[in-house]
Amino acid sequence: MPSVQKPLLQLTGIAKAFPGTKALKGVDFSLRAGEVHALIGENGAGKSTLIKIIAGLYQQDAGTIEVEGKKVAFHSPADSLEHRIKVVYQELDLVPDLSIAENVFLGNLPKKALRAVDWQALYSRTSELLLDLGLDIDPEVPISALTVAQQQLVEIARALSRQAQIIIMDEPTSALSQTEIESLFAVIRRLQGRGVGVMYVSHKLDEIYAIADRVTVFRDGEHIATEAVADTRHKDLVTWMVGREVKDLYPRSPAVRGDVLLEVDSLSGGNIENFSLNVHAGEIVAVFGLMGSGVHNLGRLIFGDMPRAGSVRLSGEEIQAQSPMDAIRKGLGFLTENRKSDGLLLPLSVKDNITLVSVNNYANLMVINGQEERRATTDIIKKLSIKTPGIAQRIRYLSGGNQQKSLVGRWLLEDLKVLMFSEPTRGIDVGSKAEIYRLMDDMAHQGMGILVLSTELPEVMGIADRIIIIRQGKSAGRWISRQEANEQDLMTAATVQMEKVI
Amino acid sequence: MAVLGKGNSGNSVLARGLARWLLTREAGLLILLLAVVVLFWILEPSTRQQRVYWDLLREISPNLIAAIGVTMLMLAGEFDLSIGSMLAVTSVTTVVVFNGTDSMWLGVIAGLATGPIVGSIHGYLVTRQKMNSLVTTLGSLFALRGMVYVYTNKTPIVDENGFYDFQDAYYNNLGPAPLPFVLAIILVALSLIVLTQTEFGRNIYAIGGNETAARVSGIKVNLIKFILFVICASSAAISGMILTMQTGTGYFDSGSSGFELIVIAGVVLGGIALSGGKGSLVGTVLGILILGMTAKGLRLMGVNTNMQLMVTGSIMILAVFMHSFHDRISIFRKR
Repeated sequence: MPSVQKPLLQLTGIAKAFPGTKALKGVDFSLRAGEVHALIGENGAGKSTLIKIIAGLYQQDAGTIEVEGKKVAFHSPADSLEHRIKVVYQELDLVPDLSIAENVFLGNLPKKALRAVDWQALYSRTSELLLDLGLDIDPEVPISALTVAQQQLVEIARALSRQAQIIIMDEPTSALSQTEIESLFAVIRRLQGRGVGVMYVSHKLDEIYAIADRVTVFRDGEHIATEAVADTRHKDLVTWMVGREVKDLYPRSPAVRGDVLLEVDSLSGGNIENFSLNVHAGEIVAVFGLMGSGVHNLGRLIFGDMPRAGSVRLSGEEIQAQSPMDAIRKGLGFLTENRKSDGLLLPLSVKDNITLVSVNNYANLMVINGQEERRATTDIIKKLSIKTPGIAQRIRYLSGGNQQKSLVGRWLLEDLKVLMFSEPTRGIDVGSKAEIYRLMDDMAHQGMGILVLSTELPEVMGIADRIIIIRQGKSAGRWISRQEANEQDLMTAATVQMEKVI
Repeated sequence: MAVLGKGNSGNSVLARGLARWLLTREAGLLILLLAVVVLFWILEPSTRQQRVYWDLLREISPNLIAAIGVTMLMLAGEFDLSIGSMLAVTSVTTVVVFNGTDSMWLGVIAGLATGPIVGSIHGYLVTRQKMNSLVTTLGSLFALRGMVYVYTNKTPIVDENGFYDFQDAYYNNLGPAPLPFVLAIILVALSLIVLTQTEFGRNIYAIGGNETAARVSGIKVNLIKFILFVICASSAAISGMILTMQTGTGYFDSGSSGFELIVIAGVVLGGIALSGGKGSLVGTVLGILILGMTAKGLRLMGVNTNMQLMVTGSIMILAVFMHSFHDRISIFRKR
């Protein structure tokens, strides 16, 4: 065999245009055997388009794809699978009610005589694949009983069942806890050892340093850089992605701390037990916890979207349990953590999404004053610099960052005292993150109270005046200021037994 | 594509507006409707009389009115399959009360009251008991029809008083327009205002677009859905009342030849998404008119009913094809 190895996957000059936009303007990307090559870029950089071209979902307008040195053309996902390429999408495409084994071999079930399914072979082969990935679990269990992390491993097992040599992971850690991320990385390293090439698409720069060998940056459909990760500074990556230097990701400046606005007393419900907190005017308070700690339930409980015990008061007034409407009327707003499933009205326009809560403010005698509503929407779009071709644009076509800003705008149109953000920057790019943080800071300076519920430690440390840790539904420590808190202490409190911390 | 004006001259703004409108769903439907009318104009000389169209509008009014309720409910992502059986419930109730009380108004009130009653039951079961609306109303489709059959023993109930005012209301005109159609148009106009210009209407679209998001935005999802079930059954009751006026009898089989399916077909043809949140009442009206005109034209041509089914079905498929094509081009236009 010659010593100079052809790359597993070589993309050259890939271009793809959609009417109105050029998603990719002639980009290159290569993947060697046994390599983890990260692809990063802001939303709209063209990462997803490239993945879809490799997966055979889109066809490129120009450029070539070579697999092991041979030019190939993908007309459908089947062609791509044929070349042993497997994409593990962010939104996993598993059938929830079928068993693990059936999912792993979906479309490829082992058969006996008369084309009957060979169940024995199916289960034993699945078990082997799962054990290989460090997952000791009964292959007959339905997918719906698994955690997201386990489901992801099932997707990878599915790739291995087809002898995939190229695995593409699209934001694989967005819903994983820290320990789950560690074990995912262990699996990736094992795949690497076997000569599988992994293309790793992510927003999270820390992960790139933890797992990737090389990194490629796209911006606005163009290839900006490809470098060995070891030779690249964090700052360079951000600058390449954003196209300018992000000086201050966390623009928090101390505001005057006013009266107490939100008082949560002995709150229980879901897996939350006896949780208390308060938020003053001008203050940003963050609750930090891992996935499954109950940090997200906390928002639903306070807002009244889940049955609760205990009391929630806003400026001294009790908010009725189970009535988001009462919460809003008294001045409490809530941005949910799942933008797509719980926040956006995907079939509707940017305007309808922004004015969802406040629409009654533009109504006289029940009839909406369209002009006033449009003016309010346009103001918000300008104020938050939401990038959209117009207010009638369907929100579905905006980038994640602009969708999130629209949701913030939805609440800015109300006269709020306290706004709760659950995962304020999940899945949005660095530039938009900085803008969201700036907005929070502004709101605090205008005398609002901000409550952040987050599973992202850097965010919590960067933005909050006070930090509360939640572990298994209970309060597990409090820190007054950013200077006092350090990453290690917070992480320990969130993971280790409570007794040891206090 | 920017909505914020670019200071073009008036003419080109108008032209661009027209061009944009031509790409909307409603424009496509209107063109389809005109195509159907023109086709019959050419094929069947009797459709060249104005009278035919006024008749059509009279006959189609019950469908139009029932379609209003169905549209609102479907926009919120729910269904009511029982509207056909509702017609018979209203019809029989009305005439039974006529005969029992000798009062026309009591009969009308009792007949119309069946709508809110049945609608409330649906609303309660779906919003409180969390039952699936498709299955629940499929159940009441059978249950209500069965009730009517048991009560009437499958005999039409004759209006013993012969309330001619009641029957005249169906056949009378306001100017050139048939009274039932005038009522339908008034109800459509009111509903259109509610759907597009009020918070209530906006909330219906929001619930169909994303129920969770609507709930955490403080919208009373259950209350609104409950009201929509009441509106839907009530609009079916009004349709049932009109059909009762037409014959003057309480008819046990009113609406039994697939009324609910024809109305839902018209609504879907009009572009209301089965998943909710998308579509407009104008589309529904056009959808109902297209199906009505097709059926009427074919009948006038003397085409047999089997053939009518085939043609109507094909037109539906054509319209749905049009919608999916429209969705595809909208994605590219990113609007």
